[in-house]
Amino acid sequence: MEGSFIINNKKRTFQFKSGDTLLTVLRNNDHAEVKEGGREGLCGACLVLLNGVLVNSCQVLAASATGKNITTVKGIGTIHTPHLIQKAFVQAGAVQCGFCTPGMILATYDLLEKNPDPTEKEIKKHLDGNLCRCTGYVKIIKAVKLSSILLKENEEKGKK
Amino acid sequence: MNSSKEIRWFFPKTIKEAIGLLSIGEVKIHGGGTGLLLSELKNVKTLIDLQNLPINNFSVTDEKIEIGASQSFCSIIDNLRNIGSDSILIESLSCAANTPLRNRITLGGSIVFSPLWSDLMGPLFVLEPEVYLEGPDSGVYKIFEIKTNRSIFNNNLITKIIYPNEKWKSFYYRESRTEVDFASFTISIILKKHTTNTLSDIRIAITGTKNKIERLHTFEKKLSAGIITSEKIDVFLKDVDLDFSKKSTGSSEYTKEIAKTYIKRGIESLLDQ
Repeated sequence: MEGSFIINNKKRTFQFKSGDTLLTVLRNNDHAEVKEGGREGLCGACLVLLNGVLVNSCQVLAASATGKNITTVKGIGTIHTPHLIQKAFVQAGAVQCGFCTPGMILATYDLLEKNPDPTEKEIKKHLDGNLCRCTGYVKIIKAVKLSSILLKENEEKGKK
Repeated sequence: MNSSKEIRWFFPKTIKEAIGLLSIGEVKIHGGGTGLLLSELKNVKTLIDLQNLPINNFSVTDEKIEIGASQSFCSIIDNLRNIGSDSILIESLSCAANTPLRNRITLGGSIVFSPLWSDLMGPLFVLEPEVYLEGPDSGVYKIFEIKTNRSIFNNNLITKIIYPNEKWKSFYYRESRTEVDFASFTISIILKKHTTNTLSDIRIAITGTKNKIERLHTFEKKLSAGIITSEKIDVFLKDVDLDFSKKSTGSSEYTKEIAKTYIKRGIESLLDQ
């Protein structure tokens, strides 16, 4: 079947099998930043924002997502213009192999949109769908807290 | 799961259209899709997607709370919080799966799928909602009827649930190896106190037994009949027959003892509030 999606603000049209997951369709069409991990909705490597809602793309059938807005990690910042959250993750040393990082970034983005000043408990709860085999999570939590600070500072600068 | 299946999709815009499609045979419903993907799309040839149907509502009056079948767990939690509710559903649904999955798991799908580890069904069994079905068997059903008559979901569509908007003290517990693991059992307790140690109403549901889910009606009646003490709870609990299979968290005997321990703890914690 053929379906269109608005991926990182660009309309894209793809051919795919009607039983394909959104993860498969994205990765088959130049969006390798959406990682394939456990494929069970438990690891968070494949997270995207679907119409602004954080979802595991491995648990979404692509046919049901046609016409919708999809944001991958590249949609919130790039290597040349990184988002403050991406800067925070680097600054906090929260990236080792980097495989979980796109999902962590999007979960953090989603959290801070809803709750700009989360407690550690709230961070852990919101990121309960993100697994990391490398870092032990300490620096990831530190990165989320730093992201919150950087975003608030940026907002204050914008007001002045 | 990397599917290479071809599936026929329909995207009905009205409930009537959806019901018409259900009758064509060999069709499955796609709400959030998490239950379907858990089964790896086995035997799925045709899917009816519900996203365009008007069943994603949430409304509150002084008398009742109405939740549309397509509401996700996260939406239900947020909506209940926004109205200042301290419903047992907030705590129980917050335990389910993880954040991104809670954004996809729907009320209707979860009632139909009703897995042994459900964080929804125990609270629904104590809240006693009416479940609204459309289709050949259109009508309003008690949640207990839905549990015993699973074939009702063939060719019928859940559209919403409605339950009384009442103030309860609530306790929810899930027994699992880790926070995100499937639950071996869950305990849902809601009560209204008459005085410090007497009750005007108490409802207790447990999931994960061999009966899958049950209310402890006899135990509830005993607890409601006079002053409650710790000793009385122990005596009444001896007569509660909970039958579990062997679980990942322990043997059936061990699980029974743990369940009874947490039932007692739950009642006592609510009486202390």
